[in-house]
Amino acid sequence: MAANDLPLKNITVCDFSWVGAGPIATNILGQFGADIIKIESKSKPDLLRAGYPFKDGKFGIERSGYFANRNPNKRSISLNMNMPDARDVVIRLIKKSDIVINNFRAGQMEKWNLGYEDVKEIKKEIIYVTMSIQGDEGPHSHSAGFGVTLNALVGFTYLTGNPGGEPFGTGTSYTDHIAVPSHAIVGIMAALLQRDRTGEGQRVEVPQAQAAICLKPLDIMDYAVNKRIQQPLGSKDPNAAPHGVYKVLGYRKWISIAVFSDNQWCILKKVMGNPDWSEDDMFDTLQGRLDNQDVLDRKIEEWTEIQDGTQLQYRLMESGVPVGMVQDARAVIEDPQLAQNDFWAHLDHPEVGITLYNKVPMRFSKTPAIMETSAPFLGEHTHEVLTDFLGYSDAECKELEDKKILD
Amino acid sequence: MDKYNNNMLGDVRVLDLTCGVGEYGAKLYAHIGADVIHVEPVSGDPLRNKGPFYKDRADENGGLEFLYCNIGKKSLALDLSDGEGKKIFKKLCKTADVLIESFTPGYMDGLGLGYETLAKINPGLVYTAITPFGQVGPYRDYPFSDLTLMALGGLLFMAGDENEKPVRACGEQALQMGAAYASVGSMIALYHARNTGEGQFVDVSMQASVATALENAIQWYDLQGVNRRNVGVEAGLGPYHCKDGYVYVIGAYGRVRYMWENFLEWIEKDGAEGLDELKDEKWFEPEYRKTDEARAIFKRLFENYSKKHTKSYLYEESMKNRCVVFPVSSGKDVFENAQFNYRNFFKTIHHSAIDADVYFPAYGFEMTAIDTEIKTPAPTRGQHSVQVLGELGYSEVEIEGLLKGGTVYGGK
Repeated sequence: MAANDLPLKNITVCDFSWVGAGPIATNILGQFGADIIKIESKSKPDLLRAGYPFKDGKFGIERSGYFANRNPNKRSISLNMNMPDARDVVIRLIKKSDIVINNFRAGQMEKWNLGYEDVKEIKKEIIYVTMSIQGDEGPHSHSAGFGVTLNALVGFTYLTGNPGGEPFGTGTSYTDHIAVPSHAIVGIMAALLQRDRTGEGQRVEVPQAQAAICLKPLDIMDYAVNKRIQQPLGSKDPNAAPHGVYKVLGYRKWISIAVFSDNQWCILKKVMGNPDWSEDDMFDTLQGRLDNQDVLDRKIEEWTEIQDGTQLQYRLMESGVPVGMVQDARAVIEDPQLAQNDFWAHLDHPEVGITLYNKVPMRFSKTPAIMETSAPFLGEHTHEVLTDFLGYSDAECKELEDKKILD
Repeated sequence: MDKYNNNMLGDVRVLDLTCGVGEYGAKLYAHIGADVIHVEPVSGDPLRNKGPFYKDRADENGGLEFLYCNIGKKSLALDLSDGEGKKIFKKLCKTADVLIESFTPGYMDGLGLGYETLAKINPGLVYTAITPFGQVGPYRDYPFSDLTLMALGGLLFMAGDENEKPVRACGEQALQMGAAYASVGSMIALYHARNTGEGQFVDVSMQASVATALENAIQWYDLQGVNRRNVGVEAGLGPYHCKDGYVYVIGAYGRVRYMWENFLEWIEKDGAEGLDELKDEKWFEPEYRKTDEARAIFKRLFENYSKKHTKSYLYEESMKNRCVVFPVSSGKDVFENAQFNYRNFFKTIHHSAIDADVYFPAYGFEMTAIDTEIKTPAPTRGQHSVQVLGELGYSEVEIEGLLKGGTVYGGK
């Protein structure tokens, strides 16, 4: 599929977003053909450029894998937004853009006179996307925060942990990765559909905390209507037993098993060879298995911990029990199923060479996602965008450069 | 600015065939004002029977997850295994822009209602399937659960320190990720269909969805050969006890001096004692802060202070002092949070079937020209069957026959 046949081939994004959820959202738009023009500054690069891991462990702002995975298929221009004249470049870019997006702290765009009210004056039909942590209004709208603190605020951390233990969370800034970018894209696509009919743009606000809660509403609703404060369950489930993570042979190797029905329990027993302990009446029903799951889990682990996990996984998969190895990154990369999902792409980069990127987790039958160019060098496309796209002459570019506006 | 009150995209019709997995995907269309019809079995969507329930009363109209995922949708209870049912469904597909289902691969083909068939009826249709592993590949027919997909997708591994067993994310996130991507993918494909008339099949894999959420773990392995887990523990970073639970503290970050200095200044001013020990130069070094010694010292000194205060107090004070201490919120804390309440984020909708006002998180995004708040409750089983059949041109007599024959359920 050539880029000029993709769904978003005519869409240009003026992308002020950095670090987390914003670049993930624009990465998705780029995979479907949008022209993403990422605005950075040499004096204040995207923080993730300084984030581990680096190729061969050697620091360098063009060597970060953390940055690279979120920013393929983008063009990078360097603009020092603290120089008043930089705004003129941005104005030209906005005039040629469909979408302006940022995930700064509330108020940052306004400081540059680039809030929605300003941008609307520049281009009436613009779609203006803002993704601050807690929304632009309210007593906590200016709170600083990180992905992990947002996860704590919205309740992931509290409910993800062992019963009675310390709250843990997913080990990542999970809300950045799915909840926020997906809600942003839904808002963007709706705004595009509407603009194409009415000719009018609008502002789309994605308060990151709200988007996050929308993917985990039940603990809050349960409190609101039942006054129950849900508690963490480790890896257990109220509707399944056995349900958990069990040791298998090897360093940091576990297998997950989830038995929801009596039928699945019978299959599991059979795969285990119907040991005497498993025939105890107390395990016959789901309620019985739930009531006695500590015993059950211990017995199952005695069985799993002396086995090769991958072989056991295939036996259980073939038999019909929900199962999966707790795969680390290496196992995910080598996973035989993901290899069939058109999920991975290897891209060459002038400094780090060929590295691995993942695509969207979706295969489109007519317009498959593209992954063509590796993450850009900071400012790699400044000259190209300014001249070919925004109509600056070489002399004007030189002048901007001399005035340190392109730093 | 005037909102169009959801009329503008009201001609976008979505058929939602999801049953228990991925139901949030089509709900996002209801937020933008599309016409979403949940086509459920005559016996009802199984999600109706999943708890927790309103007031803990098991009731097919009281399951909180069902209510949440289905507000703003209509319900057509239709038997797709029945010949007449298939005819109705095909007619309905002619009027639809998007279809979202989460059956096992091949299930709709088995009914004679697979993508190839439906695309002949409506070439512009966007057909989106959410499955555990996608439509192709060696695992496609294997059983799954949220836990096993989190495991195979690689996110479960990260939820643990060192050699500890991992813990499962709350809220069945593998399924939510599939739903979220079904929305994203189908909307991009819908945009394409509106511009070109060309529909297509969108194959969403939940395992692959999970594998997009590994932060930088893939790159850690690819670039440095390391299988990373949790971000790691260090003094001044992570959960600490307070009076009524835990707060999440980021007092130190790399070698950023002002953060640590600012943090100590605030808690000292607010009564924390013995902090001189934490002012030594070595505390600016992440390597030192990761040691057991540093972690124990910080925990003792900080918790002496933090255990005197609530999470809410520490959060508010930290903000005033430009520090980062967040509450580790329970469902109750989130519900009572001042910011969310200021923004009217939790709203009620009246569900007459259970005669109750149920609270919902209202929306994950807000728009100036589309009202993303949904005001109509989740439907009862088959609540809109008669209406939908009427719109498709069935006469009253025909509808009566379909109801009696059991092809359609139209409510009590």
